[in-house]
Amino acid sequence: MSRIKPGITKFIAVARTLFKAQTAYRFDMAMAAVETLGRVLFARILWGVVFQSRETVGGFTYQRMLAYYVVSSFLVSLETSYSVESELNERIRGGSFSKYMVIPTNPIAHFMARTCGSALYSAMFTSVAAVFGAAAFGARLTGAVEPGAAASAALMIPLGLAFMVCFRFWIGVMAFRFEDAGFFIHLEGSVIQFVTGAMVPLALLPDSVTGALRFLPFHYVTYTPAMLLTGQLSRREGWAGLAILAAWMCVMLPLAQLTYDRARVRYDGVGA
Amino acid sequence: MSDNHSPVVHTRALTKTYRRFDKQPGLMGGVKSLFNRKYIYRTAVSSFDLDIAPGEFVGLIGPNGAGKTTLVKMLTGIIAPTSGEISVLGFIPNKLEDGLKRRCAVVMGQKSQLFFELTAEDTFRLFQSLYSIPEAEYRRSLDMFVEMFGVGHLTRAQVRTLSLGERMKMELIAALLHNPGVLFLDEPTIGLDAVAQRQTRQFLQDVNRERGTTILLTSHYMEDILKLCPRVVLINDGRKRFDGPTDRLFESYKAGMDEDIGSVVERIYSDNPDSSGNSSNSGNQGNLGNSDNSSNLGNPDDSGNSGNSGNPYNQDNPYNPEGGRLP
Repeated sequence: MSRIKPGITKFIAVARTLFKAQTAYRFDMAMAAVETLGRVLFARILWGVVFQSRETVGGFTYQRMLAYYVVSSFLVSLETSYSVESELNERIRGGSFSKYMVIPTNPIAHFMARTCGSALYSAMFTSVAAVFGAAAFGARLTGAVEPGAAASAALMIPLGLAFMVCFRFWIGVMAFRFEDAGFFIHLEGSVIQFVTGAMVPLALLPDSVTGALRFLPFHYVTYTPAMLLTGQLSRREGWAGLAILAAWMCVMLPLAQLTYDRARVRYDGVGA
Repeated sequence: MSDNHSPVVHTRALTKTYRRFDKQPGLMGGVKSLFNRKYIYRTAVSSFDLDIAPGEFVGLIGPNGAGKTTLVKMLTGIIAPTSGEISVLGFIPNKLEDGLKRRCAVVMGQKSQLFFELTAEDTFRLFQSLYSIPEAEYRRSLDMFVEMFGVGHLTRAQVRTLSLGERMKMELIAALLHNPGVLFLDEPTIGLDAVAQRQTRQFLQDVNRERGTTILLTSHYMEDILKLCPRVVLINDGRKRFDGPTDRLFESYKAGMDEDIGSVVERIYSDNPDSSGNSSNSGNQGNLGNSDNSSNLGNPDDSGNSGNSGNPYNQDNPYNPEGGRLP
């Protein structure tokens, strides 16, 4: 207990600092809001054409499809952990990773707090953009959402973001071993966009693929919470997803820590 | 972990060997290396013995590539030694334990802990949380350092708008807020103008005297070493070549009263050559460059006089036993 309170204080301090740091970049945030709007607009144009000739696609009505894109676009804007792996990769290669080694903080927790700070800041703008987008493009967000489903989504969203930080930290520290984790980052970036449901709802994929993706954690980062919050998945599916995500987190967190502990011994700190 | 009598820094036979990819020049060399990669091994620090007592201000000098930064990186835990013993305040640095991080600090001239988008005070506040510094202590330390440097008007300016010298002052303040027992400085005055250098030197001297902070300073500016460090350790080719009073090292190499410091340093380095034996020794005043560094170390019972005057931390220093004996 005596270690938890200082840990939380540190976490909040780092998150707050990153939140403040983000305020320097007004243009970035404006662009994030535009991107959120852009995703909804893209969905409206694309799916508007598709739905001209049919009532439903993969179980989605046009309204539900738009609602999915509004919510998932907002969730995608919260998922800012991509900067973790690129920063780690660059700092490890360039030798400036040492700055995290000499301060009394666990690097994973530190990056988690940083991501939390930047996600909260991003949320301020993209939530407004999402609501505006929903109103402007006629997406109805008010559906019949079970309280249990909403509760599981509320837990799933931060857990999913925390998982992504751990996952990307793990990818980033590969640079200790391979000197450049760029390949993994590139590969992972393309795959993640797809398997999280950020590009298209996963329900549109063949059953065999969606069945397999259900066992992967990425399914629960954007897609499942968005489906839960738009009333398209039940409470039971929400809690089951939360259990799967928690199980993955129990694997990924120690794996990232272990990989870091072992790999950092190889660090030469070139240029530091 | 360490009591008042234990050395703050202790190394024995400390060695670091780097493995480097032997890149062949040219396009064909690059392509060949994809299939047949050769590695070369370079020992950056070799069998290095060092003890630093609490409160000492020690200079670490040597030409480029001598192994100074590698040594500092090992002492701060950034890199792991290949072999040998190492402890700082009783901790093994590369374990990266919070206990050590809370009691030591490192400032590298070309690296920054500050958030460029924010004010320096924002970073100070972050450090207050990271190091769990009580508010009263934080305020007292900050006020003291700000006054010492005269930077009260700058703490609320965005870091990116500060000059190099101003930024370095903020780096030093950030590093010292938690009142570390030991401070490692790697080229803290690099790129600073004469005024900023002088202020930084004065600041470090005050911190050493008033807080008893043990400081290991690496610098290419011999002014820094001469003015701040009663004791100097000369490293070249990864080996310790001299360990003793700074004034004795420089005096012994001085050809004349008016000789500039640059020429003296040049002679010191050339007289303590790397393993290739590229010594261009001229006007030899006594070679300290015994490559068998064990002879430079002595033992704690051999308390040769350091000859230092005016430094309360270096009198009869058992960790500098040889007192920089000249041959």
